Amino acid sequence: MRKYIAKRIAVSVPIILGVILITFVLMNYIPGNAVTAMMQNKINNETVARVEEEMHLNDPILVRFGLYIKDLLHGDLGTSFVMNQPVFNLIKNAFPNTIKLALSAIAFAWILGIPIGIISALKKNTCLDKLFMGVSLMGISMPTFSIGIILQYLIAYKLKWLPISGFTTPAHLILPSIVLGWSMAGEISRLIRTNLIDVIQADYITTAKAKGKSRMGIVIFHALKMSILPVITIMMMQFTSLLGGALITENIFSIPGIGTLSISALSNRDIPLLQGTIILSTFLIIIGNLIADIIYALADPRVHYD
Amino acid sequence: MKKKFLSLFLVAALSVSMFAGCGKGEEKKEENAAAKNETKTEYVSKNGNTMVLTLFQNPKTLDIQKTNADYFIPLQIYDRLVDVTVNEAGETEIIPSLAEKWDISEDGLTYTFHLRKGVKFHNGEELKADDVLFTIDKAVNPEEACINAAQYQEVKGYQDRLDGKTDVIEGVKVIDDYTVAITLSAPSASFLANMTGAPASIYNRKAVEEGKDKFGFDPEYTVGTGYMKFKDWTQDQEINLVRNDEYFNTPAKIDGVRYLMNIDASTERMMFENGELDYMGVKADDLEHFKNDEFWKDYLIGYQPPSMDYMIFNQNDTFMADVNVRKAVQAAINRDLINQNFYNGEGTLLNGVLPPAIPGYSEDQTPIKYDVEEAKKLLKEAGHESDVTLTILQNGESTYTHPINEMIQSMLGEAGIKAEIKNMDMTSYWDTIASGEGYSISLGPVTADVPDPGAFFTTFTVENSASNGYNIKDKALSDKIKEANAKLDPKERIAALQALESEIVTEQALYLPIAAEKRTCIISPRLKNFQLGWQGWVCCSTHNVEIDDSYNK
Amino acid sequence: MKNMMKNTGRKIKKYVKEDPVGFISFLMILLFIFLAVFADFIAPYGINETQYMKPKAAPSMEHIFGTDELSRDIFSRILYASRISLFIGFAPTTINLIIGTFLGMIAGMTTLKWVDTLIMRIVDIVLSYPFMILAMAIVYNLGASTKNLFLALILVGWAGTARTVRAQTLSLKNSTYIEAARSMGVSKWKIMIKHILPNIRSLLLVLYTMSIPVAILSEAGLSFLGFGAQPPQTSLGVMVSKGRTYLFDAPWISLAPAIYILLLSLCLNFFGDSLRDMLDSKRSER
Repeated sequence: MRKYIAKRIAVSVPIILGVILITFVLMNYIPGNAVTAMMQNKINNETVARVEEEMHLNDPILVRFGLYIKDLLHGDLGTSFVMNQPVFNLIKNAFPNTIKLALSAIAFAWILGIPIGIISALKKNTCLDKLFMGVSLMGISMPTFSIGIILQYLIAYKLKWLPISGFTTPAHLILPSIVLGWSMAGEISRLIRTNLIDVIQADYITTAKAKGKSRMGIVIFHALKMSILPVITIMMMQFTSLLGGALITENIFSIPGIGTLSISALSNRDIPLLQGTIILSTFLIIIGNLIADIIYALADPRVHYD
Repeated sequence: MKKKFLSLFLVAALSVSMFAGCGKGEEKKEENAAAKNETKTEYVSKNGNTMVLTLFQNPKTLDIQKTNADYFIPLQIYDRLVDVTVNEAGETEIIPSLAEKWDISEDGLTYTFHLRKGVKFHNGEELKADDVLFTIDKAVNPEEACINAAQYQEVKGYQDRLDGKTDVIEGVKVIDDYTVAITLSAPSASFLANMTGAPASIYNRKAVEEGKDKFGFDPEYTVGTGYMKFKDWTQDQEINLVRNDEYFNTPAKIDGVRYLMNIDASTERMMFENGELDYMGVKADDLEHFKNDEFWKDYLIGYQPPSMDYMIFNQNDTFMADVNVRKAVQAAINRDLINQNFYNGEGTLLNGVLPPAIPGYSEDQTPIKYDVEEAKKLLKEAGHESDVTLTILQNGESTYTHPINEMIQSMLGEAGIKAEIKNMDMTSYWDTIASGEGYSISLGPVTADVPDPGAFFTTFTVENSASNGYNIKDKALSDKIKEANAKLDPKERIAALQALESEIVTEQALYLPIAAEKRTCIISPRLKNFQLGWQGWVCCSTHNVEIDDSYNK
Repeated sequence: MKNMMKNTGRKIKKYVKEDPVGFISFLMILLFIFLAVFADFIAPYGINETQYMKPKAAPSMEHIFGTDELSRDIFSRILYASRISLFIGFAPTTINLIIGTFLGMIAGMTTLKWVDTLIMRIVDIVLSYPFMILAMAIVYNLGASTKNLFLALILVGWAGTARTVRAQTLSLKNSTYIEAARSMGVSKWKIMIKHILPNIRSLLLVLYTMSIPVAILSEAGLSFLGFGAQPPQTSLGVMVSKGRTYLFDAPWISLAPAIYILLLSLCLNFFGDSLRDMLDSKRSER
């Protein structure tokens, strides 16, 4: 087991290096840099050239990559070009907001997605099944921002039940969590439904049924246990991808999380900050996948570490 | 079986009802408006004696020498040597601020500023002449890499200091603790006006030197002399300012200002109507709604800022290098229609170089006529009957320009000019403008930040136009502009500049001024004595505004 | 021949009976495609046809979904816009499927360890890079246009398919009949095409139908951030995101295309689910 984890971590090193390099290459060819981002409409070619020189923005890409890796090995994520603060601090400020949002969104997704999936599977191809699937599929069938804006308009503005935007009280969390959670609930319920149907049709369940246990009992004790595995994997992946920042939802609800930070880093051409946010989310995805695999392996002895 | 169809029917009904829902929007709105009128008289705000505003962009840093993203907060927490006011005749005027008075030497080269005594920075330090020297020198110190160094380009020794040839800028001399002399490399009629701009804010040497990298971010070191103090900054969320009780002039009446960041336009309107914001610029699209609202219509404020929408013609583009093509583009665009559709028909069509409220603005210009046939004729003369293809460069963040660009695209199409819209994010946009390649025309806004006509003309010189997108090659015109701008007598200078307007706009068709939009803003009922700044900026209102307690909960 | 037709007819009848929602979704998808292809004949107005006379008019008999800020007919624009959206839904997805399947099978079948490792590390990198940021950075680099959006979706989209196909290939590789074929000296390429591909056909079909709505929505998401189709073209995502400015006073500008996306995407999802149910039950019958 320990060997397996060590191996997986070793494998993640080239992934992180690759991700860093891709960011450098992409940012190298993008029009504009941190200086033009700061100058905006007052842009002046002489000043741009001078400040670029002073900030060492024109050094060859491999030199910058090398220096960055060197700093990274010392545990230093660098200093933001634009905000002049350590990238680590900026991420440290934004990350808790993203965690809060991700946790409450995932809670919503489970509360909605799991029961819907189970009921739909039991009532396969009935009116209820289709209606439930329709509701949960709406979450993945409409642009996130449409759902966000419509909910904001109806619930926060018209009915005044919840705050419109911002991130100060727990109530601020509800709407963005619904927006994010809805689409995840769609995936979860769909997956549970499919897997559960598969398992229900399996032989031993039919046997159990024949023996006369109550229907609900079968589902809970056997089927769910068998069908929950791939769901766990998906849920883990959803969670980690949320931790990387939910760009659009954060944008609509003005949430100062990792998504907002990475978008502003991209638009300010703030390479160190962008690298920081991307490394964070890559790292989280790697860890998330690892945990999902371990859970999978622990729960299902047929899976081998490979 | 029936059940299944029932479910399908449900899905269909759901979607139909949603369609119907949007169809009924109009009626619903009226009902809502009626309902709102009753509830809205109970306008309440939870914001106490603090004014709450939004920021269009994250300021990035409060060291205004290093950013152009936001001028509003620096204008409140720092002061300049001189300030602007609008007199009774509606003209802008330079008035004392940190400098009590100033003398100008006879050759027009040396400005001696006499500083007000006893002015305290927020850290308790007294303002001294050395702080002025320090501030100017910091801006042009090459180690600081300030993007706004050019604020002081008229000062003697500017280039040498920037190139690292001197250790301190030559043109600034401390005479005594309260007197500082600034020498220019050439006489300038606009120097004083330029010193009113936000990037000319005066810093405290001790605070900046102690704060180092923290200056601009940490309230402990980011101090000025202004009527508001910087209190805190929650990343990507909000910035708080509090009243400076020791302000050298009358202190502000409100306790402070809270700036919210990253607020989407539609969110902003909802928040405003719910009493969470105190001010909002009203977009032309939203104006009708507020005008028809019994409650809100009394809180609308119309104003004419010194700004305009205009179109850059890039002469690096082979087609736009041809004066006939430029004239054809001018003739092909129906500015009246743009005015009707996007400025509620209330914009002032411009035919010169200056927007209203800038000294020298005049309405007596030869009108630019919309005439498609004329446009086609001009293209024929230029030898381009149907092969003109232009690229309209579009700033992705400046969303109001997007439908205007679409309209312009189809107007050009009617004159036989093919146009392609190229949308870019803001930073790429400015970078492309500065590079001068890959676009033909671009629509954008400009607002004067100092009350002086000079910059509007010098933008057409060969040197400046290489950075701002025009890429003009005409040296002779360039010299004429510089000569007129260098005149010291204000009246003579303005007359000389005005004499060039028709050459720039009509004869050479260097650009296309569109219109000065009459803007509208709306304020919350709890604000009293609300007065926008001369540029139409709300940040300047925070000094004198008062908040009516009765609306607070 | 006649028999076969009869057979097919019976199959369709059975399908309609068992899963009417899936069948109706399928018909709806055909209808959406038909409307998009023949927009020139069906749309009452041209995509950019306007007299600038009635901006933001509410739905009426003349303009059934109302007009937008430039007085253009929204219904007609939706039909034209759905061309781009369907193109973005189908074209990159198809290419992704081909690239992903090909690379996934190679990675699964190869005996050269480094080929497998190389492909899978690239897959890992692409999958762990934040999708939106990557797509935005690509579009920032190349400029906003349908073509570049298409490219961005391909650069990031193939990886998921490759990973799934590799896993399937690995498990099939050890099945008895493929081992038999291998011991008989059948070439790897032949095994891939003759044996693996037919076996993962249904999986690919399901992946395909599920990726289409995802691509359409990604397009919408990128349009929200400002990078969709450029005028004079338009896409559903661009219409929804540009219309949100007028959400208060003219909600139809944004809601009509949003609901069109919703219906399109719901039909695709329902059809995909039904396809999977069908294939699953077939497999269990076997």
